[in-house]
Amino acid sequence: MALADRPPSEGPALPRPRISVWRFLWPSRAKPGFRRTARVPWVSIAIISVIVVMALFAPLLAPHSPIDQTLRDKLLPPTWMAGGSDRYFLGTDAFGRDILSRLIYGARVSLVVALLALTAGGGVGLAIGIVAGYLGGAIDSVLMRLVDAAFTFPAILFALLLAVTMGQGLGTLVIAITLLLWASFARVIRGEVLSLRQRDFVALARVRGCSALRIMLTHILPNVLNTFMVLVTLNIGVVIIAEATLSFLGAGIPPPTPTWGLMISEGRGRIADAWWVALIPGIAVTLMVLSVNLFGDWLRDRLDPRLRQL
Amino acid sequence: MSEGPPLLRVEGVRKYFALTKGILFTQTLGYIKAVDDVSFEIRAGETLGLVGESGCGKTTTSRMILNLEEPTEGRVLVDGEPIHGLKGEALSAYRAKVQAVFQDPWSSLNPRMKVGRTIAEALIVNAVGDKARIHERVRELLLQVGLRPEQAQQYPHEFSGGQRQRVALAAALASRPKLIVLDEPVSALDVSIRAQMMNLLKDIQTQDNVAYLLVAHDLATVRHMADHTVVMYLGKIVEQAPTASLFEDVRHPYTRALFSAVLVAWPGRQEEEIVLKGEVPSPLNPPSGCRFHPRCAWVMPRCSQQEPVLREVSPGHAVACHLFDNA
Repeated sequence: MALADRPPSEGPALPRPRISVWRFLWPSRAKPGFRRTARVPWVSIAIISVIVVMALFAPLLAPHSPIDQTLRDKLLPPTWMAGGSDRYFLGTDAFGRDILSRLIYGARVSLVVALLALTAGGGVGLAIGIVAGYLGGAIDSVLMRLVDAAFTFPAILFALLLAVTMGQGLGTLVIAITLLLWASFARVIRGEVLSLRQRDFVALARVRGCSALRIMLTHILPNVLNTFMVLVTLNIGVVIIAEATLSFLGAGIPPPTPTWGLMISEGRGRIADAWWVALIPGIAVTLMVLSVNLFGDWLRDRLDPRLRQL
Repeated sequence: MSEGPPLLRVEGVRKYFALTKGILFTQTLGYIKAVDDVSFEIRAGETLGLVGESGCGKTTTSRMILNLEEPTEGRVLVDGEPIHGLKGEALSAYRAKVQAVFQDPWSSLNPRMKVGRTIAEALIVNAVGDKARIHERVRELLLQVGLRPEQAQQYPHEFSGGQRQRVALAAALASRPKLIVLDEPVSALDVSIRAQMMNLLKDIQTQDNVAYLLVAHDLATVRHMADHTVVMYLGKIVEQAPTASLFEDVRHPYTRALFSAVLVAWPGRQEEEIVLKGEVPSPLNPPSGCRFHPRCAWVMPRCSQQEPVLREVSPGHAVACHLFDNA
């Protein structure tokens, strides 16, 4: 682009680069000029911003109530299709509820769950990773075997079990996702702490008389926050999918509260005749997760290239 | 030097690192004898140089003096009190007395902490005085090491290597220690800055009467700074003497080789450089008898069988070598 726009006086004429949609979506590492790290993911940022704004201002933006049923208007297709109504831009579901409004309110649930689960799971993982990595020895061995155990644990099964015993709801969902997340945080943070612990400033802090707790809080923690933030963004996608999966399976937020997973679940029976009921929230989940992951990749490359293997 | 009990006394200290295999059922394959029966003393206000090539145990020795490692055997005493196993108040008192500056100025400051906070840390931890007094002390320390007081608000990445080393020194001085372990304090610095740093260290010593344990591989630094010098080879002391006497009258073959490697360009003196054969043997399986015998030019049959002990050859000058058994 920049090359093509440049006036000819500024240098020899260069062939105009071919802009290929395919290359943009799937840049090849082999091709010269591949610099994914340098490309700010504006599209992702825009999509994430739209979803965040939707969640924040849901009552102002939603044209209808997300819960009220208008059975007369059930299963209307989106506006642009034959038989679509001007009142329901993205159509309605089997109970005549406006899909656009449910989508907008559903963003709230996704983001609230992501925020709570990442705070809880990430926080627990961060604390365990720091303690295990810094103290080492038997404590490290025990905590890391716990992490190994957590990785082998079928999280979905556990979530279903929780939903049965504790009842469905936001709390259950957050606990289930927290249990799914903490171990991967703990493992990565521990690795980071192991290398930090070897740095001279940690030994010097001990020489100055700092307690282990003080060293962990003032010397280790601030130095793993970069990594932590990268992990958080990379895991937002995981949480959104987990929430959608659990809601889909009926172990998440109970109806009629709209969540994207629940909307897909409710629409799947009618995928043949009213595809929009399931497909539109499906597209929303896909876009959100894709955007968050691309953004996370970029943030990782910018802040902490050592984490590339994640 | 002044009489009275030594500030620091290292008594027969050994540090063996177990080399193990397996995670659940650990199997000890052997021990790396990083430090093997080392003893020396430092008096108040004095500088002791600890020299030797990498891997000879200098850094391990200094880490034991800093109570970062426990010795396998032997004791380290500061002001007559063993430092290992100290707890609570006694440990804090010891920590305030013994501080350190390390080699790598890029690793010795927390990149996420303002340097003023790093300097003040020892004072904050020991709850010395209120905020205003700590602030005043940080200001004073920055001036003492030749930095500007405003720089307390900056982060380490805003400093050059030499400046960082000054910050590290200020942090070490905060608690008014009696002993500072200087582990290769200038070897990471540009040659032009080295002299400045060494002069600063000397000035501080005269002002505050602080003792230094100078760990170095660079003999010029040791010669410039140290009152006494201890030469280590493979975890053992091979020669120890007042610096002036050592540089005048080198005895041990290893020390000779070490000195000849750096002093060939000394004006007016043309000595043949002694090039050592072979590599430093593994401390996991050190040679029998004298640890230096496989590489020694004056090797005798006795050397591979009998371990030489440190023996005084002239006042204050001790050598561990069979060549001087009858001296």
